[in-house]
Amino acid sequence: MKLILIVEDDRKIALAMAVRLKANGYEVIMALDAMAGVEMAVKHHPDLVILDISLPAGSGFDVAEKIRNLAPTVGTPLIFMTASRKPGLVTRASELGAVAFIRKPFKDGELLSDVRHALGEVPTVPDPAESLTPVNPTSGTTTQEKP
Amino acid sequence: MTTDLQGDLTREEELNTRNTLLLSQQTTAIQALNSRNIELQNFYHTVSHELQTPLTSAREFVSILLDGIAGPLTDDQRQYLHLIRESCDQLQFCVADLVEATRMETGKLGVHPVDTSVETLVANIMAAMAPAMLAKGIDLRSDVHPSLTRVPLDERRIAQVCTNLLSNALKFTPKGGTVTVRVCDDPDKPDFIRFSVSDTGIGIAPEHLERIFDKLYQVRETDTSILGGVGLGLYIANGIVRLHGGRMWVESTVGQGSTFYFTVPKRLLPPSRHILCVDDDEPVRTMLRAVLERIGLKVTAACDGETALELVQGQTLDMAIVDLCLPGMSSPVLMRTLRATWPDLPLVVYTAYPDSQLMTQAMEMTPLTLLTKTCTKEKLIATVRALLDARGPRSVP
Repeated sequence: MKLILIVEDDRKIALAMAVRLKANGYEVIMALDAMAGVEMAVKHHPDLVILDISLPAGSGFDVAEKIRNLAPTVGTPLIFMTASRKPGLVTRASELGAVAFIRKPFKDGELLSDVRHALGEVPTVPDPAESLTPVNPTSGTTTQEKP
Repeated sequence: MTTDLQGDLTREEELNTRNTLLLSQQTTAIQALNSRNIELQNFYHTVSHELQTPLTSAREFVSILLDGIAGPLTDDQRQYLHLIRESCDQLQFCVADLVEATRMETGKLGVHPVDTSVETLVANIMAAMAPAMLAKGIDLRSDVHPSLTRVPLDERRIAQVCTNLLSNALKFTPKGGTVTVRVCDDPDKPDFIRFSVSDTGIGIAPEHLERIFDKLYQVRETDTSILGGVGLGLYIANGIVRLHGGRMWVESTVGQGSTFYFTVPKRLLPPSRHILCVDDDEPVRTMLRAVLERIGLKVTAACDGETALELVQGQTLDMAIVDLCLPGMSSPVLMRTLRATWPDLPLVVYTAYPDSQLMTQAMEMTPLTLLTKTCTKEKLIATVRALLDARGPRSVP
């Protein structure tokens, strides 16, 4: 069973993600701050780490840097997630080798699809309708931003 | 006579003192406004983050229930959960609008035009909107002029504009009505194409037409529960069109329907247009360079007048944007020197203090355009485009 580490300071979001992932056959461990995130990654060697960017005791980027530089966890695939729309986050995540970048709130099926892709379980299929959907009915705003 | 003269002098001194006081008060007020603006933008960021975090868990738990992960559901339970998820999405869209509006005002929202097939763009939008129109019994039509092939557009952003206009048309058109999307050459400006979205809906009263693109403006006569949104949709759409260098407007008759129009240029500005930006503030230079290069201009940026003149020596120049308060060579002297070398060069004074005394000296260089540093990125682009469009032969030294 593949092990996934979720580093997320909002307990409710972390729990919802854990429920979803466990229901789909993954083992899940959670850390609620950056420091605990690094410790758990080193201790448990997860197959995938999902990182919130804004965290207490550091940021998701700090955790990613440590994971990349520590021998036991080097090469672990990383997914970043955030509710922030501040510019530059996607670029920084990409520099740190992120395999996916998820904006909160998640779209239906997005979390699971990105996790499967990160774990090499499904081939990447480009979404032909990505530029048009989903669309905000009031302003036409798309909820996904181009990196 | 002596008494009159002394009286005049005293009055002049009083007026000077009063002027100095007023200028100082105005400067303080501008600084306070700028600071308030930054606070407001930070507030929007915080609010959007704080709203999206609980929405994420609420929506995810509802989806978990709907997916049957927590056990089987009755039909009623399923229906109610769908309603909760729809409400979460509505909230999310309002938050997304707030974020978009803030990004636009802070110059963070950019457009990246690339050659786009107008026909495919419209076909995709029609396909996305057709189910909702059909469900309400509205006839959705499109008419794309066959001569139009590829136009430089930010496809995702123009689709966003069209979707917004079509969503409004859908809301305000009763069952059995018609909504039509048309794209043709702009009859007024041959270098532009014109999109329009017409409906046979309730129409908009004349007193609302002028303000309909304003931030947070809503036509209050209508039932806001039907309207939805926070009054940012058209404001954002208009901003996107302006970032493309086009304009948006509306024509409407109450009881008969509305037509929203917008234009976009058929070509980007030629890349050879050369613009000089002089400002001692490095972040301002970086912002000007980023914004102007994005619309295809060649930019030379300099921190002071002496450096600027050295950098552009012997080159072709199409415009200069000059900070009013420069170290070393003053801005009026720099502008005079530039005009001496490049006659008729369009000059833009870019300042946070439009009422400073330097402005009086700068005004001697009329014609010149004044842009305050608090202006939006779209306003900056629109001003630069208008000045370049109005420009005749290029200034060669």
